[in-house]
Amino acid sequence: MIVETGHFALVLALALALAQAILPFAGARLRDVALMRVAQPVAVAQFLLVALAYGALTHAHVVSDFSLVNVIENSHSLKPMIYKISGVWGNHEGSMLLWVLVLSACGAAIALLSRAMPDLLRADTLAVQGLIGAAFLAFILLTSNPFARVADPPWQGRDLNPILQDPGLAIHPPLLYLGYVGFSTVFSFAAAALIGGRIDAAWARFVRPWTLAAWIFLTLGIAMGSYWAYYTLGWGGFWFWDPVENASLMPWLAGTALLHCAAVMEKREALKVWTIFLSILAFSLSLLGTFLVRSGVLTSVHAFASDPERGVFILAILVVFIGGALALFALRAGALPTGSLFAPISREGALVVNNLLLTTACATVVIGTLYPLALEALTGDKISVGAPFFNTVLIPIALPLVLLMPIGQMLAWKRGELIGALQRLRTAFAAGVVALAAFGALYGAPVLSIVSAGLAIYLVVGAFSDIAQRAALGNVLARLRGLPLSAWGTSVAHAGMGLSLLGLAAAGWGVEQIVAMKPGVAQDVGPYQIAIEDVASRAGPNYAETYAVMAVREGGETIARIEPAKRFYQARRMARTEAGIVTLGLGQVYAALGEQHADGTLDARLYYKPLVLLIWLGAMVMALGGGLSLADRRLRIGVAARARAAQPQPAE
Amino acid sequence: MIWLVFALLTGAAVMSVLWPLARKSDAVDACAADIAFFEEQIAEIERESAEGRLASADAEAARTEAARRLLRARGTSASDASFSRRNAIIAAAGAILLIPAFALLLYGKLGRPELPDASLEARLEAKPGHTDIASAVARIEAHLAEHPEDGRGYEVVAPFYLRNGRPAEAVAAFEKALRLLGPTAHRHNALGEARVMASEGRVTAEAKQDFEAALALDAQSSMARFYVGLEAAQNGDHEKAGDLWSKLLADGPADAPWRARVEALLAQLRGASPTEPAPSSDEGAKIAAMPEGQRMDAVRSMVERLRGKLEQNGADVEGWLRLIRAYSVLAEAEKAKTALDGARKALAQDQDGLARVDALARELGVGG
Amino acid sequence: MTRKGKRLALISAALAVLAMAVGLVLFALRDNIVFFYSPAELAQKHVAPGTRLRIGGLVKEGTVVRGEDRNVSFTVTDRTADLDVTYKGLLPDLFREGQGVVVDGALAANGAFRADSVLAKHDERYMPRDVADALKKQGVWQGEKQ
Repeated sequence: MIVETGHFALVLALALALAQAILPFAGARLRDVALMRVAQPVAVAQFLLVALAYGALTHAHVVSDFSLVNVIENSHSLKPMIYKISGVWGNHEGSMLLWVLVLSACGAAIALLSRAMPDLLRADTLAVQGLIGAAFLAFILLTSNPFARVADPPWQGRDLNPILQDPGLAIHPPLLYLGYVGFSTVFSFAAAALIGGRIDAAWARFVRPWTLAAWIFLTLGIAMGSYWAYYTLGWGGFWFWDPVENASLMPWLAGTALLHCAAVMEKREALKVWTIFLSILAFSLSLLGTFLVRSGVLTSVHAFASDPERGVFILAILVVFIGGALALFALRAGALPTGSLFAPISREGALVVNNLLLTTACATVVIGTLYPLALEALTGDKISVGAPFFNTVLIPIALPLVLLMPIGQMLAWKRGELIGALQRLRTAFAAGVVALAAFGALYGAPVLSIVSAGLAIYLVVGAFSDIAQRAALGNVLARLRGLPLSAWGTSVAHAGMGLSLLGLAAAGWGVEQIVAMKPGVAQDVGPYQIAIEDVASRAGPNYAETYAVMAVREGGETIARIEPAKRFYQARRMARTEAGIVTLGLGQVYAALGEQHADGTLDARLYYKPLVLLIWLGAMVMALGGGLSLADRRLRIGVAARARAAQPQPAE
Repeated sequence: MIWLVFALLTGAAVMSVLWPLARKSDAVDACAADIAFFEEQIAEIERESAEGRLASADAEAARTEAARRLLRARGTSASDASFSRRNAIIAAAGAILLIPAFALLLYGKLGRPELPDASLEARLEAKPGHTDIASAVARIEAHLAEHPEDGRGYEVVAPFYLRNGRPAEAVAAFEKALRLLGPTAHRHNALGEARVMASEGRVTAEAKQDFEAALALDAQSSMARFYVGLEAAQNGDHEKAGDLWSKLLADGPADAPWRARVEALLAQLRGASPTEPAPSSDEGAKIAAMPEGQRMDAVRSMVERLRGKLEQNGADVEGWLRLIRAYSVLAEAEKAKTALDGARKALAQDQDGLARVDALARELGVGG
Repeated sequence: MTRKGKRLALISAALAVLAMAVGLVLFALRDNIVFFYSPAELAQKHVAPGTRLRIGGLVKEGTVVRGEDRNVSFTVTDRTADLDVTYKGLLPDLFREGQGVVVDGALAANGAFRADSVLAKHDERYMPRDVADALKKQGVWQGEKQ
C-alpha cells in the first residue's frame, strides 16, 4: 500500500503542478489577488506530495520490495543500508524523481520565503515553476515511472552498478541537483519579470539569494563529483572533460557570471537585459545537461534516434522552455528601461569584463561538448574532444580572468581609478612575483604550473587586500566587524578560487609511476617510498576483494599504511579498483592495483600528488564565501521590512 | 483502505487550492517592496558614510541616485489588484472537479492498486510451507545476512548458484563455507569446480590450487585428479594429462559414472579420432577441454541445437529455461528476447511453466 | 564619453573577446580532436603515421601476448579487418579476449598501432558506445537497444 500511495501522490502532484501553473498565472493577468495567492499553498502541497512519493520509493528500496521493477534492477537484499538509500537516485527513474523533488522544494521555498515580494511577481514566478514541474512530472510518469510493478516478484535484485556503490554517490547527486535545479528559481523569476514587464534593483535583490544558494550547491556538487571520480576511477585524474562533467560545468560558469552581474544590477540598476539573459541561460544549460545525461544521446546518437521515447520527451521540454523563454526575452527585452551609466574603468566595467570572459568560457565548453554530437549526427564521423581542446581554449581565458579578479575588487563603483587600484594591490603583486620565483626555483618546470601558482598566490593575497586596507584605516577589530558580510563573502570566495588554482597548478609537479612491485621491495614515489607488506583476500557484504597492504615510508620510517584493492561484485559480475589513498599535509599518496602475476609481483599505479587537496578545499572555501554573502541580512528585504514595521516611529 | 488514503490525499490537495480562494486578503502593493528596498539602500549608504567607509562625494552621488529611484517607485505606486468572487468560484469548482478527475484517470491508467507491498522480509515470513527453490534460497540469503558466520548456509546455497548460472556467487559461497567449516577434500573440490565454471571451463591457477589442496587431504579424490589432468590438457601438457587420467581409470571402480567421459577425453587426447560422437552428457567436459576459440563455437552450436529441439517440441519448460539462460550468459540479449517470446508462445497453456519463464526473464533482465 | 560611445566601446570589447575565443576554438578544434575508427575504416582511410586516433573493436581471441616489463600486444578486430596494437602499461580490470576495447594512440611507421591508453568495459549490457556502433554497422554486435 505504501508503494501505491507514493505512486498516487506523484500523479496528484502532477495535477497540482498544473493547477499551480494555471491559476496564479490567470490571477496575475486578471489582477485577482485570491487567485494569485493560490500559488503558495499549492506549491507547498505539491512539494509534500512529491516528497511522499520519494519517501515511498526509498522505503521500497530499504525493505527490498522486489515487486517494483526499479528495485529489482538496482537493488540487492544484501546491499549495505546506505547504498539501499542512495541507490534510489543511482538510476534513471529515481534520479529524475530526485530532480523533481528538488524542483518542487525550490517552489515551496519561494512560496514560504517571499512574504515581502509583490504578489504579481510571486504568482508569475510560481506559475512558471509549476509549469516546469508539470513537464517533468509528466516525463517521469509517462516514460520513466519508478513505480512500475510486477505481479510475481523475484527473490533477488540485480544490484546497483558497483561503481556507484560508494559514499561519494550518497552526497554528490543531491548536491549537484540542488545546484542544477536551484537555477530553476532564477529562471522562473526572470520569466516572471519578462511577463510582468517589471524589472528593477529590487528584483535583483530578490533573485540574488536564490542565485547564491544554487551556486553554492553546484560548486560543492561539482567538487564532490570531481573528488569522487578521483578516488573511485583509479586513474588519479580529477576532471576528465567528460560530457557528463561538462553538463555541470556549463551552468556553473553561467551561474557565476549571473552572480556577478546581478550585483551590478542590484547596486546600479545597470545590465538589466544581460542579467535576465543569464538567468535564462543558467537554467537552460541545466536543462541541456539533464538532456545530455538522461536522454541516452551520449551513449550513441544513433541509439537515441532509434529509441526516441525518453530522449525526445526531454528534448521537447528543452525546446519549449528554452525556446519559450528566449522568445519572451526577444519580445520583451527591448521594452525594458535602460540602466544607469558607468565609466569603463569602474567596478561595473570590471564585472562586465568578468561576464564576457565567463560566458565565453561557458560557450567554448558548450561547443566542445556538442560539436562531436552534432558532427556525428550530420556526417557520421566520430570524434572525441578531450582535455587538449579544453586546455588550449580555456587556459588563455581563465588566466587573464584571474589576473583581473583582485583589480575588479579594488575598483570603485561608477567611476574607478586604475592606477590607484593597482597601487593598492602592491602587496599582492609582490607576493605573486615572490611565489613565482620560489616555485620556479623549487620545481623549474612546467612553466604553466609555475605561472598559475604565482597567479594563485597573487589572487589569494589580492582577495583580502581590500579588507586589510579598509581595516587599517582605524581600529582594526571594530572595522572588521563593521564590514558587511557580503564583502567578506567576495574576498573569501575569490581566495577559494586562488586555492583551487594552486591545487590545479601543483598537478604539474606530481609523480606518476606504473610499476611491477615485488613484496617487500620499496619503490620511490616523490619524497616517499612505498612497499608491499602483504597481499590477501577477504569478502565484503556483496563483493569479494583482493587487497594489498602497502607501507608508505619517509626516510625509512613507516608513516602510513594504505590498502588498495580490487573488488569483484558477484551479482553484476563486475570488477572495480579501489584506490588506496593517504593524505600527507595537503598532498596525497595514491595507489591503485593492476594485475597480479604468477611470480608474486603486482602491477600498480603509484602517484604522489602535492597540494591536490587544495583543488577541493578551494571549492569549499568558494562555497563558504557564497554562504557568507547569503548570510548578509541586507540581502533579505523581508527581514528588513519587518524590522521596520516593528518600530512605528522610524528612527531616521 | 487504500482508496480511503487516496481520498484523503486528494482532499488535502484540493484544499490547498480552496483555502486561499476562501480567504479574503488585501493585496500587497506591488511597489511597497521597491519602496522598502530603496529606503533601505539609502539607510545603508548613510550607515557606511557615517562609519567613514564611503567617501563623502561618492556617498552623496549614491544617495541622490537611490533617492531618485525611490521617488520614481512612489510615483508609480498604485494598487490595481482586486478580488472577484466570481473568479474564485470558477477556480474552486474547477479544482474540485478537475484535480480528482485528472488524478483518478491517470492513476487508473498507470497504477496497480490491487498489488500489495511486497517487502522481502514479509514475503519470507508469509510462505513458510512453500517449497519453491528460489524462495528457499532467498530465505537462506536473508538468514546469512544476519548470521554471516554460518558456514552451513553457504554450503547449501552454493550448489544452487552453480546450477543457475551464477558461478561467481557460488565461488564466494564455497569460499566462505571452506573458511568457516574448515577444509575437506570435498569442499576444496567444490570450490575448484565452481572456479572452473566461473571462468567458462578453464582450470585457472586458483582452481588448480584448490584441487591440489583437495589431493593433499585425499590423494585418491577422483574429481581433483580429473581436473588436475584437465588443467594439464588445457595447457598443452598432453603427456601429463594422459598419465593422470590413465591412472584415474585404472584406480577407479568399473562402474564409476565419470568413466565414460574420461575415456572419451583420453581418446581424444591421444589423437585417436573419435569416430562416434560422445554421448551428450559428456559434451560439457569435452567443450571444457577445447582451446578457447573453439570452445565458444562449440557452446554456440550446442545452444543452437537446443533451440532446434525446442522448435520441434515446445512443451519442454526446462529446455526453454536453459536456452534463455544460455543466451543471456552469451550476452546475446536479442536472441534471449526472441527465445523468451518463443517460450511464452509455446507455453501459453502451461501456467506454471509460464510463471517460471517470466521469473527467470526478470531475474536475468531479459526483455525488459 | 557619450552613452553611444560607451555602448560602442562595450560592444567592440565584446567582439574582440569573442573573436579571440572563436580563433582559439578553431585552432584547438583543428589540432586537438581525435577521430574514431574501426580497424576496417582505418584500412580504407590511409591515415598518416603519427596522427592521433582512437580505435575501437574487439580483442581478437588468442592474440594477447604479454611481454617483459608490462609490454602487451594484441589484435583489435571488427571481424572485417584486424589491427595489431602494442601497449605498455596496466590493462584495465575488464580487459579480456573477445571483449570490446577502445585504444588511444597513433600508428607507428610499421603499420602497427602504438596505444597510450586502453579502455575496456565488459558486462552484458554495456559496451563502449563507439565500439557498439561500429560493430552494429558490421552486423556483429547484437546488443539490446539502449
